[in-house]
Amino acid sequence: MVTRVTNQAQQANSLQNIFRITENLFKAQQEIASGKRITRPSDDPAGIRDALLLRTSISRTNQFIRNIDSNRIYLQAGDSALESVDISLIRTKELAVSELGGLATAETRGFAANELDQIISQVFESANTKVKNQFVFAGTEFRTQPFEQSASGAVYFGNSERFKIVVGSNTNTDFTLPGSETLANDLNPQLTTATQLSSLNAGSGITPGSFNITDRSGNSGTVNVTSADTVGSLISKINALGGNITASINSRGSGLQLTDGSSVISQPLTVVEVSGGSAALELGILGQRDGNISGSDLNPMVTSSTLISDLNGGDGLTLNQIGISNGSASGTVTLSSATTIGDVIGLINSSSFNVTASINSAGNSLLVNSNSSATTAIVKNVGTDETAENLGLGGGKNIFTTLFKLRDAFNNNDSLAILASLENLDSGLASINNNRAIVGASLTRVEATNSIHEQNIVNEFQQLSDVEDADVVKSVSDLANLEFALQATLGATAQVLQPTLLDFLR
Amino acid sequence: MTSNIFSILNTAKAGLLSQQLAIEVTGHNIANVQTEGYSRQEVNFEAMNPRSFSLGQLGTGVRVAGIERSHDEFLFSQILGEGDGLGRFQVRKDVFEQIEILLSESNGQSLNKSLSSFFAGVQDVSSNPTGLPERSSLLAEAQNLASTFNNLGESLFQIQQNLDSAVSVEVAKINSLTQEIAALNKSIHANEPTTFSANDLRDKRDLKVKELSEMIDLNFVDEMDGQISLTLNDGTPLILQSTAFTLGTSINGNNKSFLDVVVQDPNGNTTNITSSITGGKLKGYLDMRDTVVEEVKDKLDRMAAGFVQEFNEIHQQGFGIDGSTGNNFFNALRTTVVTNVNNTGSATLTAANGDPSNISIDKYEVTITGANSFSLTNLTTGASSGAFTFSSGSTFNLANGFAVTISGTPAVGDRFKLSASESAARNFSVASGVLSNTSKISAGLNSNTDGGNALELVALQSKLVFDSITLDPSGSGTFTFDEFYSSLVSTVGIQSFASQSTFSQQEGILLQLDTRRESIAGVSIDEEMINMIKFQQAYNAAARLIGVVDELLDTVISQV
Repeated sequence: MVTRVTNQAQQANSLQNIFRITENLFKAQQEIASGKRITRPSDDPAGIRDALLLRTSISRTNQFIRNIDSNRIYLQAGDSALESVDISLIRTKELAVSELGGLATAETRGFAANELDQIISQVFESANTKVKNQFVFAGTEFRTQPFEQSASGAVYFGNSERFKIVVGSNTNTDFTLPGSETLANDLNPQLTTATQLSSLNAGSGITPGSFNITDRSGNSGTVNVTSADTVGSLISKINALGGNITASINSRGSGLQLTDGSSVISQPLTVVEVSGGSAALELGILGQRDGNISGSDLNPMVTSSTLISDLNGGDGLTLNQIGISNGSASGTVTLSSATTIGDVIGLINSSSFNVTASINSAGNSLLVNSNSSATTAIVKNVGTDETAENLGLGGGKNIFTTLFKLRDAFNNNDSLAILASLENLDSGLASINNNRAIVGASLTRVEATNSIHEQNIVNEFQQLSDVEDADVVKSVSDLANLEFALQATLGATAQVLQPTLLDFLR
Repeated sequence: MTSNIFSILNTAKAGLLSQQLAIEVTGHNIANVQTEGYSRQEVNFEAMNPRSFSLGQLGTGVRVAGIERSHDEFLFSQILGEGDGLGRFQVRKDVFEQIEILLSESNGQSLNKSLSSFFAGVQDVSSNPTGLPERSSLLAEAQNLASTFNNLGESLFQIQQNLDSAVSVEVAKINSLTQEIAALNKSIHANEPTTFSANDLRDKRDLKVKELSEMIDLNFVDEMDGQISLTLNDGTPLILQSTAFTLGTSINGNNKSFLDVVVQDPNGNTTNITSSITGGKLKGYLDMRDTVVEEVKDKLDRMAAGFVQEFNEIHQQGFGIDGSTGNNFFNALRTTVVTNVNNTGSATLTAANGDPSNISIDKYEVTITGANSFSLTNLTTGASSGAFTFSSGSTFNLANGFAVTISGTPAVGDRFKLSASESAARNFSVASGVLSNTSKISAGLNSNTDGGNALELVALQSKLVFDSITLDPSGSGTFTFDEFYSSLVSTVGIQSFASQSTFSQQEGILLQLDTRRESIAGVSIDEEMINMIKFQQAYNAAARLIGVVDELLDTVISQV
């Protein structure tokens, strides 16, 4: 039997065909107009996932490039500053050598001292270099001028941190070297229970006052801070509050740690100041936290009771020998028996070189001065041992000490001290060159990373385009095909729908 | 006597009238060529009872035995069977289209882009930790991210609400259809006293039943006295002969006050049939509202909640320029408690967010198992989280940070739902402390000025925090935030693609069935024209017969 083809069936079928073709036409036209193959997730669910992840990756890589581009100036400025110090040191060495010659007199050495003063100001200028209004050699204390001239020489006010910037996925690169690694020393003692609150925050201490601690179960208590407190007595006061708080020194040895042992937790651990005080803020524990509060770096000063093993952020220092020359006396002092800074000072003072050792005004370095105003005491490393350098007494990275001592030697017309300074000038030059190599290597690495990123971006854009961009040639040919199909269908429909028997019954 | 000249007239008259009727039916067919659901009608002729005479039987002409419509019962039930699938997938397809527009990167709320810009802002802060412009721009990016999350969460909730009102509209439509069908049942019964069938009324009823089949799953039970009875697939009656059971809606307090579907029997008792509906648009609306959109929204909420939690946890450990620590960057998650409306005990349960950094972002349900005990179920993963005891009125911790207090007297079987991520995307906002003072942005790790904590925040972008469902409890998952989001988008894409293709398949099947039905029941003008000519010729011939009889009579009369 023949299938009956009825009018409604014909109409429905024609409509269906025309709609199907026009829908595809619309899609092809959309692809051409937007240039994108994927306009909705269902167009290609796997493709949209790739496209999203590629876009994230491109945006991240772009940001890495931006980080490098806008911050490589730190490395460049650091390098030029060190280069300028390098040139200054070379000129200083020329001065020192020429003032050791037979023609040198007290007068020529006076002139040399004047020139050296100029050189020292120039080195100060380099050491206080700013980039984007931030000090390059201040560690991460960007807003603090790192080097200041004081009666006892140069004092470093920065910290020992290197400033890191993200240059790649989970890759942070050092963009600055702190002044404590390049031009001066920072003994950087860690916090101990014996540390006096008055020696914290580089000697500014803690303003006496009260703060309130509320533990996570809701118990609270007030701690009263006095100027006589040590870190240990403060910890005891907090622990005696009776809540679930245990105070201690944090694992980095840099600040306080408040550990909450509450068994039922209903609120954050909260520390607030009482009656407008600032003790909690200065102790670095002001705030509230869903967990334990780890306080900020309290930056204690060195005191005579500071243990050698607490220096250098708790890593300690290994002490061997230092060389001292003062006037006609010269020789070595063995410091290996010292356990505290006081011991070191004692050993140096009791040596036969007529010198006095002391802690500098910022409490982050030691000084050795001659007891006689006619001579200049020069301290230097013995061989490859770096005890003198690490204590900030002289040699190597202690550029400022070396320069100030040499100036004193010029002024004192002290040939032996000038001679002794030559060695420190040489180790200073070596140290500067070493640091310039480090900065240069960072710069090279950053540039290499940058060019890899740039290549990656090109590749990722290529990939993204493969995933989501329309193949315009294909879309246009599709469009042409569909147009043809539509015309054919419309033509056929017109032909099929028109005639009925009625047309022939006239 | 063998033949009667007047009986020839009778025969001719029967022929004339029958053909005339046939032409009228043809006219009716032609008139209804474009009527949806119309079945072609055909006149059945049969020879009239013959009269007997000596030579045997002599025919007495034609009579119309009946007017039949071309109808295939089997095909019709097939069309009904496919109708519920079509309706259901049409809704799925339409709603997925709406969700896709939301998630589309080109014209939607590009969460992917906002996230990238936000992290770029964090990197800028890390490279200049004390810079004010960097901090302000990070704040702007954070607000942008918040508004993207808000809009997405809000729009998804809006879709749910729209679906909810679509449910009540659909129920009203179903009611009007079932009433019409019941009324048609009655008319058909009244109009079919004999063997004749009420063709046009039946067509009309078939059309209504077909319409109804796209709205809800239908089971054709039986037909008695021309009246059909329809039930849902599980046997719930919708129409029993001339009685229509009215559907209604009732607010479900356990499902965000969305509407449930109930059926009312003639005695006025209502039965909740929400879960027994298995097809049609109504099922589509319920499914999308309670399952699909809910899942997308939940996943987005978990992503927002996870982001708030992870970001805040790292942010809290740092120091702002002002020296403060423990600052939240985003507002901490809010906990919600939903008390089951069927609870019989008098207990109330309150839950605060005791530990915003660690609280689980999954949804939980507390089920009271005794006077002082309950069991906890993780609704997100579907796993049991153990059994606990409590004493009334005292606070205890659940699921890493809910600070829960149960007071009053609970009854066994009472249930409470807890969540810290409910509507997290809609509530996503930057903490007011940071908003009013950018120096509270904690970039410093050990001091106020270093960028160490900002670096830790940057690392969060590539940290593997999620497993495939939620934040990994061990902290070492397999997906980053970006991957979690793109898996959400591609899952929606896959589901949308599947519903599109199922819908077009379903549409294709129905088109074929319709074509089959058309080929049986549809009107073909050509055919009707041929029929018309056929009947016209037959009419002409019968009229001619009268003419011949007239001549015969003339002949006879003129002889007289």
